[in-house]
Amino acid sequence: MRGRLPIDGPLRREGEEPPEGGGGPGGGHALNRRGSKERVWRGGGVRTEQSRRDEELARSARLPQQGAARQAGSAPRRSDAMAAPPVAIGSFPRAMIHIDADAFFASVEQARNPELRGRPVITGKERNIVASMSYEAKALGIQRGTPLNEVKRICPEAVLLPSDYETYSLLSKRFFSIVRRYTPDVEEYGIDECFADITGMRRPLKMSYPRIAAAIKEELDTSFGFTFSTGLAPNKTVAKIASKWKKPSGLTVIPGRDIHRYLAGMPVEKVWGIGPHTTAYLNKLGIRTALEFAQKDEGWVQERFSKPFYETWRELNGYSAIGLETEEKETYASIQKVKTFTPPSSDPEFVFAQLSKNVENATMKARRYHLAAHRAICFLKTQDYRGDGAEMRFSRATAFPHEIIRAMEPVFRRLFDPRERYRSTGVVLFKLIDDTITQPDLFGVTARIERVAKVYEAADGIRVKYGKHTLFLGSSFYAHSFAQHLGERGDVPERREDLFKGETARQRLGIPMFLGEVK
Amino acid sequence: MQITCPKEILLDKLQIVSKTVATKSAMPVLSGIRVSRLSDEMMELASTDMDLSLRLAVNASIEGQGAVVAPGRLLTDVVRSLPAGDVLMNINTSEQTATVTSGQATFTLNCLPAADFPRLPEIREEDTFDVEKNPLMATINTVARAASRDETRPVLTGILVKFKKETLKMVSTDSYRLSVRETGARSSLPEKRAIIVPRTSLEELARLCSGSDAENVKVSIVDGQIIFGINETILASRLIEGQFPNYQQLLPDEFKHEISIDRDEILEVIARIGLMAQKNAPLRLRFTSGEITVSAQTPQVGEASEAVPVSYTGEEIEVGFNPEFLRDGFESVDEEQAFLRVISPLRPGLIKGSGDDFLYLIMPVRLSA
Repeated sequence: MRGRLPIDGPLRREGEEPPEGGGGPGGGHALNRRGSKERVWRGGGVRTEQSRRDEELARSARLPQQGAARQAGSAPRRSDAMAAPPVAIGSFPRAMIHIDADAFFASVEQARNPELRGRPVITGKERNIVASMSYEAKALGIQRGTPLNEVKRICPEAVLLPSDYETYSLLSKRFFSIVRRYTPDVEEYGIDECFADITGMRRPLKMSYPRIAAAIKEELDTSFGFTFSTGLAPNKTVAKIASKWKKPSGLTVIPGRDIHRYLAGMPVEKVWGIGPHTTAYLNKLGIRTALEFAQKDEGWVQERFSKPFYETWRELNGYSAIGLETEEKETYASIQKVKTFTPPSSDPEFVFAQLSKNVENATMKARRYHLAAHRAICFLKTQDYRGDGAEMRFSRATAFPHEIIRAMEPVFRRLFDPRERYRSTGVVLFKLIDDTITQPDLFGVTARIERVAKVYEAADGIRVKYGKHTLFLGSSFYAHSFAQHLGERGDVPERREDLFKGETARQRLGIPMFLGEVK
Repeated sequence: MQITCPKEILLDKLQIVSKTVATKSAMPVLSGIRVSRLSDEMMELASTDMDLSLRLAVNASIEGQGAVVAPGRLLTDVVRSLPAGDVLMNINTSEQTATVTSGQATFTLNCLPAADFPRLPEIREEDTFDVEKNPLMATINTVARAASRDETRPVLTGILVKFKKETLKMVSTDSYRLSVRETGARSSLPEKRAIIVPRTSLEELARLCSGSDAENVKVSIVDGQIIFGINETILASRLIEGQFPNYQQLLPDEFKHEISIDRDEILEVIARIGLMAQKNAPLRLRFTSGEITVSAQTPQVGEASEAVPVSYTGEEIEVGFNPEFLRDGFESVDEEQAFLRVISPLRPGLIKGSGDDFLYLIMPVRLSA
């Protein structure tokens, strides 16, 4: 069991001995040095075989920290926490799971090409920085965002791959569909993580909550060939803490009555939804750990914080306050398109074409969602990562690239400095409104807009049929007439190079990985 | 300088002048009210937000000389809090303070020097003409509501004002409706003038007019400003530069159908049925032989309809309108009988009285089904 469900060690830091077994005031269970279990029953009672198995499962994923607290004198806060009363007394009034794929992109690459297993694998070649790295690479000290030439220096044996988003998103869909076998309530929170509400699923699945979490994890691990970190808790915020508690391949179960132990040593900025500004404010109020925040009075919190943070506080106290968003995203507050290119360029026409292409892509997306923007920001980034941008306001909301590009031209001329070398451009459309017109105007402006809209409708139709970049504005020409990246960074994922018979660059089978290659 | 003035009069004038005190300005002096002497029996209160400025003469007994800019909000709040009776205001120009005394209560407010206050436009008698007050006020009240509140097209946030010898014409549009009113108003104007004045300035003027017994309003147009004088009160506003849309060409040459309807009756129907037109849902007007049926429906809320007998004989059509725009149009008709003309569900409709002095063009809302 241990191999499949590794034990979390909240207190175990590097170089520390595994904790001593033994129960503490919290009444948990722990492993001793030899890894065998010691049970400290608090209170009697008859247990069925099933419930004991569940207990074990939960325990194996639970906290062995008392021993460590005693042993590691370096963790005084931890012992304070032991004295602290629980923030909640129930176990799972709601049962929420958070699942996070471990090093998703790199793991996908390793899974589909067994040759890469055990080797430091890095994706993000096309961006020239690390987008995702395997645990082997992480162990060598490589972090997200590291420039690739530095990676080559630190770790010459690293395997650098271009991101293959097509495969990642196909696998992402498969990931969510596996989770949906256990519960319909799944929130796709990112390409590699999701929340799932399994409340009430004990009876139909004939499993306890920790068992369900373990079963989902097991099914994911075996079907993908890489691991997923899973957290079970009474709400989303704590579930997120749980899944992060042990990575990779952790399964951490935090019932309500144990929440306080996990929060005690955790800096408050590690809590989901608490950003740097809130952290700074909390620190000024003397709050450093998540537990200190959770222990504040309800009134105190409501007085000082807005609703989202109050909800976080409630969740830290074991309530479920943040609902699942299971609906697919149908509207946007803003639409952003950014593209990097290599080599960096100081050619105004090329850089402007890049910007123009971003505008075309952003407006295409806006039109797809029937949105039009009242404002836009365009920005340029130089080779040394400095950026400069400007905001544009439109007298009416628009989703037509020719209008935005015309407004952008003088802005671009102001921003562009021919002495600089630029590496990326971007555009953000915001103040978006629904573009369906119900109230036409007296001056015939709406009629004109609708005529233009028809042109774009036709263009978008052609794009759907023949490819996104079959039709583009002349201002984007230079961005289309060169590859986005010249040199090594221009390498495309294998999936796009090796096509099956009958596949084209546009139309490919929705198969995420190759079966293998005979050499 | 020492000023003595009954509290009620002082408060009343302070509240009026507070309207043009700037609330969010980088210049502190704009959030103040300038207090100065006009004569031994008259002081002046002045404020400006740079777009609009107001100067009021207040009867008071004045001794000595001096002027300061007192904090606008605070001075008004202080005077409001005082008991009834005479208020004594002592203006100390050298220390820049205003000491307000009433009964046993004394306040000393720190002020700013009057020299920092922007120079306000003066009425120049030679460039001034008179316009009858009541028609001016009525015209503003009719037309102002159709002006745009969207700052992205500044011209439409203004009202086109045309002064002629015998008439006064105002036009406004937010591009969904157009309101035109021509009123007989004698003026001593030598030639025609057409200008665009911000809606908010004219609304302020109408408010000042309603509280005044003057028969005429003095008007002076100089240096991109329009200055109105109502008795001793002077309101100055910037003008909006730009070209007002050619509204004449928006008016269709002819309409297919016309109904005549009791103004108050249709307004009641609009108010009633409009309750069911929520979340931008339109009011539907179905024209059938002998009646029009006003209806509204909002998904997940409900629906309503009401038939009103009218003399209509044409083909059956249904036109949708924004309820608020429709109400504004009928409310602006100052006769018992109103007329509604339409062409088709996608062409503009027209609301008017019996004459052509008031025209309200309104663009229909597209009906989905």
